[in-house]
Amino acid sequence: MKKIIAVGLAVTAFAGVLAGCGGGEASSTGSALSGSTQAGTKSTMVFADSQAPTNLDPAEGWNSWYTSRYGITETLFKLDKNLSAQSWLAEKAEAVDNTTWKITLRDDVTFQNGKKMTAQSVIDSWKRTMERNARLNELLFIDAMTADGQVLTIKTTKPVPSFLSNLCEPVTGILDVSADTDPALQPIGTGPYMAKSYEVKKQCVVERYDNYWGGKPALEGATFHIIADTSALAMAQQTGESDVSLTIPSTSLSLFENDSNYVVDGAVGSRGQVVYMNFENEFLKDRNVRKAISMAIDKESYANILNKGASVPANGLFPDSVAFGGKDLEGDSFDTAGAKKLLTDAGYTDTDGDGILEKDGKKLSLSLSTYSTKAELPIFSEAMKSAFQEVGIGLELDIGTYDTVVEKQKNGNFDLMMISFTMCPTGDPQYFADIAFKTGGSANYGKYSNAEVDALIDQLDQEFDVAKRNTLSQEIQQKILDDAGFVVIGHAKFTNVLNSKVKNCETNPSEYYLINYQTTVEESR
Amino acid sequence: MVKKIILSIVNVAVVLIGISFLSFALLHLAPGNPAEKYLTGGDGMTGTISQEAIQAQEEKWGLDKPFFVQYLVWLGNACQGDLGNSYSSSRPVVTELLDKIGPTMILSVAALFVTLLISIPLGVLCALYKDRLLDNIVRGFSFCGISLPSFLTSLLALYIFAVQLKWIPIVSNGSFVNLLFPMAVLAFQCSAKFVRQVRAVVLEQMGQEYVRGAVARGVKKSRILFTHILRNVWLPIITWVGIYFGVLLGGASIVETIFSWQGIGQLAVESVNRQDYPMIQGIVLWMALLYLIVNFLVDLSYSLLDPRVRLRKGVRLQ
Amino acid sequence: MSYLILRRRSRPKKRRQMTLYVLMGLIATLFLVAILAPVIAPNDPYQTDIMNQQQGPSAKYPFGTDHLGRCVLSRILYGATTSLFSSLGIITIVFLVGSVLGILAGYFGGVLDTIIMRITTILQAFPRLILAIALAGVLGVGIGNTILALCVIYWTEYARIARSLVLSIKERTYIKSARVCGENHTTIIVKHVIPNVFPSLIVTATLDIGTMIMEVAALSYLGLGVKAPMSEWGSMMNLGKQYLQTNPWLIVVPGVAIFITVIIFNLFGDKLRDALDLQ
Repeated sequence: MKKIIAVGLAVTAFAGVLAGCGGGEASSTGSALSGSTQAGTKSTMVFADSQAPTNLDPAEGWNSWYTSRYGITETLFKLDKNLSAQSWLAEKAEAVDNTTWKITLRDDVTFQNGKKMTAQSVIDSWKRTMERNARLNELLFIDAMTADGQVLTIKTTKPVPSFLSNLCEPVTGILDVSADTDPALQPIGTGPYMAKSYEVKKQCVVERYDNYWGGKPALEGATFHIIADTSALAMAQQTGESDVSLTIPSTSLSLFENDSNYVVDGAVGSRGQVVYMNFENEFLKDRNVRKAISMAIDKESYANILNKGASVPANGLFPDSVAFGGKDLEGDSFDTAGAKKLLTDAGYTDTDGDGILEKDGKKLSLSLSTYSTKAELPIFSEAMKSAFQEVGIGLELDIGTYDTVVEKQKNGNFDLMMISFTMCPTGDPQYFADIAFKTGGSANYGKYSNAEVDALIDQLDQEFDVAKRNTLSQEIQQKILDDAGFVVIGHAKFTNVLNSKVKNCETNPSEYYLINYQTTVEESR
Repeated sequence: MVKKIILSIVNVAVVLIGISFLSFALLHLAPGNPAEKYLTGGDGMTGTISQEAIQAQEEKWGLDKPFFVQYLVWLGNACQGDLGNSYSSSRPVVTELLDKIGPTMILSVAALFVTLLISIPLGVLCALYKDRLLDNIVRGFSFCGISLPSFLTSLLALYIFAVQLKWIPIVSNGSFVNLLFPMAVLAFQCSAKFVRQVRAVVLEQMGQEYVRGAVARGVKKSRILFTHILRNVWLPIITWVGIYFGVLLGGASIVETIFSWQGIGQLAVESVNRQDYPMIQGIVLWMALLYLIVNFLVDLSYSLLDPRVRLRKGVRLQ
Repeated sequence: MSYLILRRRSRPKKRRQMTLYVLMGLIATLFLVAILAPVIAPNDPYQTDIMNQQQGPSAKYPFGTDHLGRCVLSRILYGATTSLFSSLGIITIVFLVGSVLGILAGYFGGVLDTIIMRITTILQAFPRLILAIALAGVLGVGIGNTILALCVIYWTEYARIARSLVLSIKERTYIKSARVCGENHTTIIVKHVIPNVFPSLIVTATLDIGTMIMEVAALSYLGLGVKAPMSEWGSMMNLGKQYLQTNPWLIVVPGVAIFITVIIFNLFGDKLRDALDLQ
């Protein structure tokens, strides 16, 4: 009897503890971490992210993304919230011919050690980066560079119409390489904030650079905490330990929505959930099957309900929000009955009554490969399994690690594959069209091939006029949509959660930027 | 004695080489290309990169060479104390390890210490007062500890003590308060199992003939407990201590991650995700070495604590 | 305090046996539930219903619905099969392999001992998590591979404990006298060693049942584990982690299922130990 009581007590305690966490919403924003300089605003601010650079040297790996977010380094051009390139450290740029660019830099930019930024400093900085990082020249394809005061002339090895967009990628950030500090700890950039200290994967502290070319930065400094566990990250925002949090999972966003203490600021980026079709699969060769698949996916509900609004449904292939996007295209809408009819008309019938259609004695059964590190992918794939079942298509899920999926991309051993892919990292359609849509492209894993699409992409590769590029991009997408060659379920929002007292810290869909010289936070009462 | 020590060192070397080879082989067999991952930024699919760039990176890291050559090169360097540079941070592996080994050791030792402090007295008491109130209460806690995964215990602790009560900050600064919670979570989890195991071995001894005999002879019962039973249960208990230390050293990554405790566990998970071969090799080697040292001490204590084992020829390093 | 040493024998044998039978009955019920899941589950555990996701308990869905609108109760019932059989399978394998090798190593010593213990040392000194992830990477997804990976990792623990237990009894008088009496090794091992080693190993094994469910879950999280959409308690728990604050039902329900299972197996282990001890 005692045992039963003891066990009972334990169960109650367990359930009680668990139930306790469903209750109250913490709503404190008070932070004891910062003092104040002037009335109304605080002197420092705290950011929290689950990801971190290996060190602060922007030339290495992907560290430049973080030095850009931390306000240390800047690039010649900058992506606005519609992912189009705007001048930043550069004043203007013109294409002299197909392979020559003439860029005029601002005259008033100084590095954080007071030295003036000239065209020569850009060349020196890029040369150093190129020695350490292959990525820079995969973006710029530099053949030769010459400097004349503030004018930089670049010859490229081939026409690069997306050159200006590519100049926004943080790896092209400018660093004073003649400075005698160790860039891994003290990179000398041109940004509003200078690196003060960095403890690997723990925190980065920056302080104001008073002579910043844009104006005096609003904060004395800022701290960027790294909290690897996203649930703990969300809690740090709840306790008010951080003013701005990046990468809070979509499942936790509801803690902050509808709460006036917080602002959930999402910006649609170009990271799409892309479904590849393997054209070597006998069923997927049939356009009717591909169309039926495309019609069976309820993009709207997946984005809004399953992904809690952390992504937006895609009408076309590129994000609907960008100028070259798919907003006005004619895509497939969710239509289970239509998909069924399409298959029936094409001669697929369920002869053995198991709910899966057959043709010529073969079951219309496919597998879908995806990976679990991006939380929405397994969720979408499980919903797809049910949805396909309704239509009469059998779907076996193969949810592995990112590496197993990469392996399948190489050996083509898949039927359907869903991956999360940043389709326009620099805000330009050409990159993804070249690698994924074009016959033989390096990311055309399903071996999609359409001569008309190829011809359009070739035009895009040579076209420098932005309006024409946008039209071409839309034509390409429409052709692929008609083919149902690819399905893009939606595009992820890059979402930051902010303390509502934070000012001037707009979320940018590129994921490149975070703090700027005007970012500040009001004193809480 | 000298011979014994030399033999032990040879043994350690053999085990370490075995382990390093096993991990090297597993890493290379697993799908994925570290050079490609480094250049494309891992799971991001943030960009593809040309094949030439990948090959250049592979050459730089010596990944283009045959597997055995790669291993021998690594082994040769390792023997000279050079564990190479981490792929992702380009810092020497040894420096990275030295940064992280301290916090992990502090956490593991603290958690183990608390575990022993809780489990041994409680386990013995539970055996003595078997099926009584204390035993049942401890049993209840034990069940909780076993069926709650560490991420849940950790997050609940954070939620209650940081979000609701605001006693501790979420962001760790490596202070004592920040040590307390991850330590408590780990100790709770280990104790949940250990207390039952201690109870079991003590009960085991209580059923032995020599105990019954002693009782029959009228030996004082406290004397039976301290001189006979406890002396005999040290052996399995110490074996478990060795096992738990290994588990704590290598398996606290979830707790470390949630409490932002900058230890080896976090580094290990990240390195595996990034396929940072030199870093993983370094971690595996370090952990193995620590584990072997602890277990050598365990083995040594066998012979000191149990005279019967000493009768066998010498202590063997296991 | 120690005056209680002999009191534990004072309970009537019949009642002890009753408890044991009751617990066996409960275990049988667990398995029955697992096997009968298709009959007793109120809903199809795989049927998604996006519009009704994340619902609280209702008449149709007694424990609510998960992030895909599937019935949590039905998934728990179906998941019982996977969770119970996989964890029990792993435990059986590691228990048998580990204790047999451990007993042999401890009893015979010499070269056999050296080889077995060298292998266990290598596997144990290898950081567990890295070993699990590496094996996961090499073997690939699937419940079979998960079981294999966990067996590779866990058998060493049993081998070591068994060996240390054998060492502690090996030099006892009754074993020595058995040998003097001319009993052969097999007889000694079966008659004297195993009865002395198994009881505390069984306690560890029953304790590990819960651990194994969690380990399967951890591997599911890393991409090994069970193949979606198959339901399994550990991965349900992992999923619930994301909804800890927003929909705690998703973690409470599988948590309680695991808890109950752990309790039943554990109490059973305790009672079984007592029963074996008495012989």
